[in-house]
Amino acid sequence: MQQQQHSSEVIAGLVFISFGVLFAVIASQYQLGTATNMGPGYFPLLLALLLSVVGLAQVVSYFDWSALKQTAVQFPARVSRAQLRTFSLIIASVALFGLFAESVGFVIATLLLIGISGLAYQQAKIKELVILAPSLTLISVLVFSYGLDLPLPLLPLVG
Amino acid sequence: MELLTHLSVGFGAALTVDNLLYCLLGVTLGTLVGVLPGLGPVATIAMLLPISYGLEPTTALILLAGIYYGAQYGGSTTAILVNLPGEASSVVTCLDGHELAKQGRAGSALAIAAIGSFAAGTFATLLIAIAAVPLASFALNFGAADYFSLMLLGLVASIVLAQGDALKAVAMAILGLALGLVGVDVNSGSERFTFGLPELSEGISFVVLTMGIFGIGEILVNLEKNSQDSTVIGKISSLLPSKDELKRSVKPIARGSVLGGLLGVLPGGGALLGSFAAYSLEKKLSAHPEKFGTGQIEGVAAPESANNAGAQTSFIPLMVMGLPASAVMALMMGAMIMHGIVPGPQVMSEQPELFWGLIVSMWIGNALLLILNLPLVGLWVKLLSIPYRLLYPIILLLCCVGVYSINNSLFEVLLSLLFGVLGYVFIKLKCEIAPLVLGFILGPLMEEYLRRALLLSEGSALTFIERPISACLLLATVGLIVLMALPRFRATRNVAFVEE
Repeated sequence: MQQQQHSSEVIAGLVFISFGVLFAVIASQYQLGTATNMGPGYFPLLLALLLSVVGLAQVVSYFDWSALKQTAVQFPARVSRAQLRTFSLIIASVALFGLFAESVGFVIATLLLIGISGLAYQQAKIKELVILAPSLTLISVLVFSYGLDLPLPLLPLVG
Repeated sequence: MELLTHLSVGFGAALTVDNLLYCLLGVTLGTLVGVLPGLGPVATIAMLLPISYGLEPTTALILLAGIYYGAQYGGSTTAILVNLPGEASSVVTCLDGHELAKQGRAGSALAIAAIGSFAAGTFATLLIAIAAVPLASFALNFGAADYFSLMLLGLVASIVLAQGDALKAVAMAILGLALGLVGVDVNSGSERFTFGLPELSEGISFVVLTMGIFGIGEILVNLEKNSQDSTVIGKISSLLPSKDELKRSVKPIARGSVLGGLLGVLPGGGALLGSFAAYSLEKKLSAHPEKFGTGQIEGVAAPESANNAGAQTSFIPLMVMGLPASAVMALMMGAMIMHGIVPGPQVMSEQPELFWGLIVSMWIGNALLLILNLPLVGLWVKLLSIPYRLLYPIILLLCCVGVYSINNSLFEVLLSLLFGVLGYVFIKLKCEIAPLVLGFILGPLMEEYLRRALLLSEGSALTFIERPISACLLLATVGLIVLMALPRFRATRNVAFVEE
């Protein structure tokens, strides 16, 4: 348990360092200016450097070589297939909506969103979803498209 | 007395049929949202922003504000009945509130929470009414350096109050600041961090960030736990608290109201800070601190009063200085700008009906909540029995539609998905989200004020110490940091905050 805690601390630090370095690299390409006359890159670069330093401090304070080996070994076992499935289905459902809602129309996009995300639940009941998805879609069309004038096309564009 | 004139203007504005109706709608919606886990006032207000565009500015603000403090009521209902804080600020209420429910005293707890909230709301309304005018004139003395120091204080405050690791909270705040800078730099006109994407040139929409992290991100985290949909609801015997409970609650309500009201004004404060502080205070003052957590009514009365007072007074920095002190306030500011109102000290004098009408309607809203909520508890309980597996697809849909409707942009839906994943990562890594959100709001503002301050002082960093207001604020900031480092405070912080 303790090792688990520490590894997440180190990972957090690494995440911060990565963001810091990424932002620093991008920011340094902008004009920096001086303290008196700050250019677009000044404050971002400052923040990016600060972030990297804090991330480094985080990593350093929690780094533990022996724990590292143990974590690396444990990692594949800790993520179950079911969890991976849940995660991917939720992502997929929203991604599909975000990519295709304008081309396939609100009705189909909503059906897919509810259906696929509903399947992500580990004890999903298909019978429930078969009722839930269309009824929710109907309600949404009434509330959002007709009631609130949502500008998404309802059905796929023909031709 | 000027106060009476202001209040009468306010009542005149707030008591129109339209405004009353929308106030009622707002608080009811707010309670509903507060009761439901996974959907918060931030997301709801964000979704209703485009719709409120068609309303009168005062009416729109009354509606949106009602959602905010209504959610505090709703959050306490679930905290007591189900041990699930509907709102972050209700976390503390779970501790003793749910214990009381398990002992069959849920009715008392709910009633005390409602009464305390109403009393606090009244106090806060009066506080705002009295303090607004002098604060506004004081605010006119604020220069760029002072604003910067105020925001820095707020950021540090949010870090100090974050659960868990302070170092990570610092990093989250900095990351938030950096993310807030995405888009066109106002000063130079050059695009920053946009990767050449035109959709990013206006920056990352605040709603995209919050819906992504709090909407999608939370769902990702919750589903992973794969908990069965069983919610333990305490039985509700009678709705009336005993005389003893009422007597014991009077002082905690008073203390909670004052503490919450004052802390709510701090940037980064709002309802959350006050409720934690009030609970800790009651525990310290109690004759039996060890009993806290086993069903002490003071542990419900104080935080509930504090969070309601804080929710209302957190409007002060926005209404008086044009400074959004929290996520919700940033949205309210967006609503005001959408209606062509520039937030700042001049709003009070130029738009008195808007300002005072909003303040008075907050009191009216509190009264409505008191009257409505207790009978409606049964309805909320029914609502809570909706299994999560049916609820979360609805939330996802609301997120997608909500984000899309801001700019008719599916790109933003995808962007919010990205933030959802990011939010999931951060929650799993136990990084506090609050400093990130606050940093995001304050980022461009802080840069602007820093820039201006240094420009005015011709590069001298001493300006932050030379100006008296800035110096005081920086002193308070340093004080908070020192407080953080003290071992005794750290122990209390861990006990008070890391109580899951």
